[in-house]
Parts: sequence; C-alpha cells; structure tokens
Amino acid sequence: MKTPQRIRRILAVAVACGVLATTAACAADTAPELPLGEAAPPMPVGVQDPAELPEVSEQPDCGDPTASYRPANGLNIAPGSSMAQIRANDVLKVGVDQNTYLFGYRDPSTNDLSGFDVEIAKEISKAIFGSVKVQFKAISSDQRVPFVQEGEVDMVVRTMTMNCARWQDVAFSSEYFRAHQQIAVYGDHKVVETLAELAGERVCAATGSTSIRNIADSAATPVAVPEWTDCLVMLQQGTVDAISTDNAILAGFAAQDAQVKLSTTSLSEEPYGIAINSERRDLVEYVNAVLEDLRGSGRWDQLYQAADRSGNSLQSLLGSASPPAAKYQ
Amino acid sequence: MPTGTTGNTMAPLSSHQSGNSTVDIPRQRGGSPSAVRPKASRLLNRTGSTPGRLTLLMAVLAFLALASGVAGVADVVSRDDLIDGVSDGSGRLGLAALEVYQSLSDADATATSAFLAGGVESPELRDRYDEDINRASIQLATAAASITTQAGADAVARLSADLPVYTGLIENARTYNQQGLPVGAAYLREASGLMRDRLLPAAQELQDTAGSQLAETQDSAATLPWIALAFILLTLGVLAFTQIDLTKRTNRVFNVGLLASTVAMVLVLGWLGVASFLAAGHIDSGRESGSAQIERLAEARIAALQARSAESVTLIARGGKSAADYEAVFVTQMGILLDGGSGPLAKAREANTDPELTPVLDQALATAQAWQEVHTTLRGDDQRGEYTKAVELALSTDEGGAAKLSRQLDDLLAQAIQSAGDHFRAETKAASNALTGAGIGVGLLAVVCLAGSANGLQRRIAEYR
Repeated sequence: MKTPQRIRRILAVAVACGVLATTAACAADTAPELPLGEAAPPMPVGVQDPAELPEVSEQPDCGDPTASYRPANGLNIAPGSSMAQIRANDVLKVGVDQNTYLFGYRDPSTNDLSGFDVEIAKEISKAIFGSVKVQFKAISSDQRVPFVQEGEVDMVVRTMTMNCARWQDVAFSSEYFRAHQQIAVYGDHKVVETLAELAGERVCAATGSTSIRNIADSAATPVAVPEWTDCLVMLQQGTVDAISTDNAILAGFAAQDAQVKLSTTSLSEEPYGIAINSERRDLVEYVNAVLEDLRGSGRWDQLYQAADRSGNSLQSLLGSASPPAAKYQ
Repeated sequence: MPTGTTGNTMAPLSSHQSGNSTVDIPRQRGGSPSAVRPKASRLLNRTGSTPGRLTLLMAVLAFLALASGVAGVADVVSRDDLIDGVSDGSGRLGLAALEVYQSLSDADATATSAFLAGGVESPELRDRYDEDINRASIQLATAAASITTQAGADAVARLSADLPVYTGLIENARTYNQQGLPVGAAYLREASGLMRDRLLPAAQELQDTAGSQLAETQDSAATLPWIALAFILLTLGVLAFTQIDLTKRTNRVFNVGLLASTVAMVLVLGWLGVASFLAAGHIDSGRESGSAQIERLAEARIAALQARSAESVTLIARGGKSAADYEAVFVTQMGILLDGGSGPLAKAREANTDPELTPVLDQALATAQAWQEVHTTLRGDDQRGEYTKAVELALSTDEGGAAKLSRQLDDLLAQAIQSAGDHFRAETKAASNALTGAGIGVGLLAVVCLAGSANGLQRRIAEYR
C-alpha cells in the first residue's frame, strides 16, 4: 500500500512540477525546521523576578508599633458597636493564609483550614457568637491592607508584622506572636546567618511582605512571589538560592522538606498583630480583650503546642515560647 | 514534443487560417517576402501545402491530446493525493491538534477538581487524568508527523517540551498532597499556570495552523481542474476546426478517426468534469458539516472545560485576589458557550444538517444553562461564607450538581464531535470514491484521441503521396 502511494505522490509532484509548474504542489514537501529553544524552567504564577518594589516610604515614627488600644469594655458588646454589626451579619469575615504550614494552611486531606492564625480567628468568633461562624478568605500578603481598608474582611490574622508604616493604613491588635526574620537555604548550600553573605544570589520572599524590603536593602537579588509556599517550590526547583522571612514560616518549610536548612541568628524582630480597619477602634479593643483571655487562660499555650496529623506543632518546630505581653498606648 | 516548438508553429498556423483559403491548392499569394522575415516565410512555405498543413495539424492534435491526457491524469492523481491529504495528512493533523487541546484542557480541569475534593484522589479522576495525558501525548506525536508549517512545528516543539514538565509538577503536587503538606498546592498552582500560560496557548496555535492547513488542502482538493480543462477544450476546438477544414477541402463529411478522437475527448471532458465536480462537492460538505463543525464544537468543549477548571480554582483560591480572576475566566468561557449569536455552540447549531444531532446540541445548550445557574448558586454560598456547601455543590455528581452537569455537557459535546468526525470521514471517502478509475479512464481516452486523430489525418496525408 505504501509504495504505490509513494510512487503516485512522486509522480504527481514530478508531473505537476515539470509539466504544469504549479508552485503549490512543489512547495508542499519541505519539512519545517524544529526550533532549538533553551529550556525555560517552570515558575510560580505571578513571580516577580527581580521583585518590583514599591516606592520607599519614609518609615513614620509612631512610637512603639506593638502598642495597641486598651480593652476598656472587656468582652461586652454594646448595641451599635462593630461587634453587634458582625453579629447581625451572622458571620465573621477573616482574611487568613492557606499556604503557611502550621499558621494558616489548607489540609489537603480534609480540605479544612488549620493552623495557629486560623485557631485565633476561631477563638474570636467563639467570643462573639459563642460558636465558630467564620468565613475565611485566603488572601496573599499584598492583599492584607487593602482587604481590611475596603471592608472585604473584618480582620486579617495572617502572620502580619506590626510596624509604623502599616499603622498608617490599618489598626493592629496587641501582639499575639513574636517571630524573627531568618534565612533558609537548600541542600548543600552553606548555611548563612546574614543577607550580606548572599550577595548576588537570588533570595525569595512574598510580594508586599516586610521581608522582601529587607532583602532589597541588602546586596542579594530579591525575587517576589504571591504565596510563601511558592518560595519553597522555587527553592526546591533551584530557581532561587535562599528564602528570607520569619522563622514561623521557614520552620514550616523545614518541616515539609528536610533539605531546607535554617540560620539561627535573628535578623529582625517581627511582632505579629491582627489587622483591623482603623475606624473600628471598638473591634480592636474587643479583640485585645479576647487575646488577654487567651494569654491568661492557657489557651494560647494549647494552640502553640497543638500538633497536626504529622505530629508537628509550633513548639516542636520553634521551641518553647510564652505569649508576648500586651502593650497598650 | 518540446513546448517551445509548439508556440512557434501555432502562431503561423492561426495567422494562416485567417487567410481564408478554400481551394485545395498550394498557397503562394499570401507568402511574406522572404527578405523581410526569412525564417517565418520558410515555415509558411513549408506548411503552405495541404499535406504540410495536415502534418502540422496532426502534430498539434497529437500534442494537445497528449497534454490533455497528462494534465487530466496529473490532476486526478494530485487531487486523489490531496484528498488523501484531507483524510490522512492535514485532516489527521487537524483532528490531532483539536484532541491535544481538548485533552490538555480536560487534564487541567480534572487535576484541579481532584485537588478541590481533597484527600486521596478518586480512582475515577485519576484514570481520567491519565487518559488525558496519554491521549495528548499520542496525538502530539501524530501532529508532529503531519505538520508542514513552521508555526505548527514550533507549537509542537513547545508542547513536547512542556508536557513532561507539567506532568512532573502534577506528580509533585500529588505526592505532597497525599502527605497533607501545603506545598502540594503550590506545585498545583505552578502546574496550572504552566498549562494556562504555555501549554494551552501552544495548543491553540497548533490548532489554528492545523486548521488552516486542512482548509488549504480542502481548497486545493475542491478546485476545478482548470489546466486540464483548458487543454481539453483547446483539443476539442482544434479537432472541430480540423474536421470543418477537411470537410471543406475534401467534401467528405466524416473522418472516422477524427470523429472517434472527438468522442474520446468529449468523454475525457465529461469524466474529468463530473468526477472533480463530485469530489469537490463531497470535500465542501466534509468541511461544512465535518471539519468546520468539529472546530466549532471543540471550541465549545474547550470553553466548557476551562470554565470547569476556573470554577474549581476559584474555590481553591478561597476568596483571594486570584479567586476573582478565575471567576472572571469562568464568566468569559461561559459567555462564549452561551453566546446565542456568534458563540461556537450557536454556530454549530446553525450549521448542523444532521437531524439526529439537533437534540444533542439543544441538550448541550440547556445543560450549559443549568450549570450556569448552579454555578451562581454555589458562588452565592461561597460569598455568604458557606464554603463547604459551595465545594459540595461544585463536586456533586448527583442530579443538578455542578460536576454532574459539566460532565454531561462534556459528554454531549464529545458525542457531537464524534458524529461530525464520522461525517467528515464519510464525505472524504466519497470524494475519493468519485475519482475511482478516473485516472486510468482519462489516460486511455486521451490515447484513443491521439490515435484517432493521428490515424484520421494520416489517411488524408497519404492521399497526397
């Protein structure tokens, strides 16, 4: 079958080209060239390489950024207050992370959100409703401030560092966790203690985080991604050399992959607070009352020690800790 | 006979014809002065005598009969080849390209939907994903073998390079997910991004270039055999002139040889004309309700699959910024699907000529509408904070569940594509059948024509010796 068809094809082309000289038939059998492109490694969606950094805004002086509003009314909910409003909505909207192991993450086996931040949000809901009525919104680092400002969520509990620049846009609860910025490297890479040792190397952090700014201020090349786990993927794929962010996040990476090696020196203190709209001071005070309760009742320690299915807890990854003391203005 | 000579001999012949000679004597009066054009005049002198004239006519007729035969046979052979191309070459390529695009879209929708469900992936979804990757790989190899354009080859190369990367990322995601670690979701996001940003655009490009390659082949296969027809009509014209001329000169009405020659050439004209007309008709029909219909239906199916994928990813993204982006993708794709004017499904319904397919297409449209409504409900649930309820509705395979409806829609569209594919293959086969025997027939009849005119004129020329 093959040969006669081939002969016929050759005959057809020969006849067509020779006698009739129709160009179309003659051009048909030229094979296209295959391109010899270089392999482009896969990258996380939304990666900024190098990172686009916002204009450096003068860090305003607000005194102590960890000082919040004193809870004057305790857990009382006055009519017309923000908490009464939330009760009327019958749901507390909270922005969390769903990618940061042990802080706010989606457990792929149950589809449920778990972690320290998520539990804190549930505790606040329990205080308002007596039960868990939370609508979780999984948001990225750079969405935290706008989501609070635009009222998309009532609060953000998402490994968020309190600083004076952010106090200009949102209000913070009292400090509920103290993290430190550290550096993670992978496999055979020498463990480094400072960003200066990573001069010229590619270092990953989330877009809109305080860490990406710290990296940009050093001699390292900042690479920004939407979610923290995107950094771990890039580290595993060898498209970045290191990650620099809070130990709370890095310890979660080390728990997911034993090749992730952490530094021990704290580059900066990162106090975590719950972000709330600046106009809802009553809600900030209320949340502070809830946090007081968590600190005093030992619930904070319970959450810190709570182990997930794999047996990992914040305590097992970060060592013993006690809740940071509340400071008020 | 070399073509150059014909051109030279033809010109004096036709100018000579207009000399209005009716008598059977050698012509001297009209001869041009040899001093002016010695070469032309010698030629005229030589052809001026009746036997010379007849010899020239015989040569011209022999050439024309031969040229008609060769052009006719070449046309049939190359048309047959083009039709083979429609069914085997660019046709297979076009279908393969569409399969690649659909399989990749389905793989993406299946992987995201399995992740949304959580836990260990269901065997059903796992099988479906494996089947998609398997089909995409095989059809990619098929496309690679038949592609003839640079753009198509580039697209195939990019797809071949990125597909194993995609499956690698999916396997990573799967492994981490099974261990309950959140980095699995990051691998899934990266895989999905690779699919959307690199694989699907390349598949789209492959489909576009394969589609136009097929359309070009169909166009070429459906043209009329102009060159052959020109030679045939010219042959018939010269045959008619020769016979009228001979009748005038010899008072004999019929020349059996030339008459047979004329009949043979008329048969060539009829056979070639009818065969190529029929073949062209089948090719056109195979395009209208076959390949073009498949393209529309595949476009609808791909829109449905991408909408399904976006629905899952919106829920996976859980209210973040990307959730809004994916919801926008759903709205766009569903808009394409439900567009009553220029949407692919509406166009497919309009172009449909198969009464058995009408209810299938109607049902597809109704299913898409029902799915749209369920989607609105589940988006409302999610907005109100009832995330679990929204996910359950999205994954529900019960009557009225989003998973059920999107699967139903996919099955209906696949059924319609199958049916259009059958039509395409049947029409292409019919086009090929229309040409059966035409090559040999035209060739033999051209030989009869050649022999007849040679024989008929040879007898007249012999009378002058």
